[in-house]
Amino acid sequence: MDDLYLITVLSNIGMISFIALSAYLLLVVGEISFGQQAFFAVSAYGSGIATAMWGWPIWLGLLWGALVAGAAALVVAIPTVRLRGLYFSVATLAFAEMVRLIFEIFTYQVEIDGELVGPDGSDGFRDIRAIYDSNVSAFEYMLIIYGLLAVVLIGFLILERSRLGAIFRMIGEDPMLTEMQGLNVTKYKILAVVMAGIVAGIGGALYAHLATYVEPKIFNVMLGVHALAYGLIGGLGTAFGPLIGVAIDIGLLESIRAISGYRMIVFGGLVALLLIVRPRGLLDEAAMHWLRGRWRGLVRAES
Amino acid sequence: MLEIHDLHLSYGKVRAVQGVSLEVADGEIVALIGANGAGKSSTMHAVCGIERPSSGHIRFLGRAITRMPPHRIMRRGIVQVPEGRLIFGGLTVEQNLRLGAHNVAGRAKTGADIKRVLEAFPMLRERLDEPGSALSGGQAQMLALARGLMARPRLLILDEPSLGLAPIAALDVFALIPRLRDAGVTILLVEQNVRQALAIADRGYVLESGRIILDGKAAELAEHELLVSAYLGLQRGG
Repeated sequence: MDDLYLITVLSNIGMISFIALSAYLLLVVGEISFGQQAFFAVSAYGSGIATAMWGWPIWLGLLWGALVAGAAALVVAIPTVRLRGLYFSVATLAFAEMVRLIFEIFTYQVEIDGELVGPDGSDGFRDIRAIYDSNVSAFEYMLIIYGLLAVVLIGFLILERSRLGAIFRMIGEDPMLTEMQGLNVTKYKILAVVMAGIVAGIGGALYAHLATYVEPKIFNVMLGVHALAYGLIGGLGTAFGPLIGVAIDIGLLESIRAISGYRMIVFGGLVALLLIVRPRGLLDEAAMHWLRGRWRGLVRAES
Repeated sequence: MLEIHDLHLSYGKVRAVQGVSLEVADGEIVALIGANGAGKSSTMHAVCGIERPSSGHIRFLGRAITRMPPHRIMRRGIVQVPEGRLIFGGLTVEQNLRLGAHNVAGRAKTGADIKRVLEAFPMLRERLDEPGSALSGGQAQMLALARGLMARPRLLILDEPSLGLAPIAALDVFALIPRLRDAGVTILLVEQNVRQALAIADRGYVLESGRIILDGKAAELAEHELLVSAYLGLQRGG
């Protein structure tokens, strides 16, 4: 029983890490999105429909969910990335609420084995049973979550060392100066929003299949606010930052019984404190430069 | 090389540029001088595509570039080193340089370009791994210049390169500009430091309230009584 609890907590940490990485990527390009939960939701529904209603295999359902989320992100990105600062944030929030409200009325059901399956408006979408039907254990599913998380994280680490990663950071620092370097900022921002949508989508698809049940109200704005806060706590200097943020919130705060019931207050206080003391999080860019310097020093000393 | 004809630019009701015409020929250093708010930066922003002029024409190498987006203008060979030593503080010095070269055909040559640029800016060599934010003001200006050169510009626009620098660092910058020209880069220099700008320029334009009020050879402008009284008065004979 305790093992199952641990597996559930770890699985939650893994799934939320995707949406945290998603919000982090946009923070890197200098945009605050309050709407990453929308892509999480679109993919949760999309992948659930694919496996539970169309009978697709799980892996294809996950891929489909991520692609649908990416497509939704493209639709959002094209009109919104030219908006600056607060306007982009408000636009993403409005989009996410719109998505949530659409799922409140979205009904699409088919009869399978004498039972109606599919999204049923505000009653949600039940019986997304693919992993149970194919006898994937909770432990195995956790490994799938962490396997995919490792793939995405490695992708982020490669990105950070690449030209594209440097361009994203340039845009985050100063979009106009980036434009002066001959770079099409709009194009790169659209790319970042789509990539972030796909990453959130992977988390959403994983979530739908573990929970077997999704309903619109799960995807409210608090999910998006948490996703943002994780990067701001853990740090914007590296993709490990948002993961540390998730670990602190779900791993630490939720497991300390003494603060149960006050968790949101402690969490909110922590965010406020860090924004004052370390506005770009624990592992910010300066910390990462320092760590990389130390690492290079160690490597040199070894050889 | 660069021709600006009857350029007008407004911010709301403020008419920042009111009919500026100027020319820069291949291989020249042209100084654009004037007080704060005279319209120097607005004119440059229009050339680079950052601000949209309300009317007028800008041509570069015989082709119209009016209202093109900045990244496309830059690819045609106009590179601006903006005011305020703007570099990317979160990126390393080397990343700053590499990304400046982004539009040059063939990334294989970037390494050679970095080597070439570092020869002109040796002080950057040992700092390649450091974040841009760790540089001093003078070093940051050098990095901004070096980054501009990475893009192999035909025309380099320097917007107030000496602003806010220690006098020694400013001298370094002014010493460098003629060397860049000798290496084949045409330069449009926007400066408030009139004396030093005219000392290295071939020709100059004086901007006041959005209009060109004076233009001519740099040496003649430096002696012009209007300029002497308005900008150089206190320094004359000093």
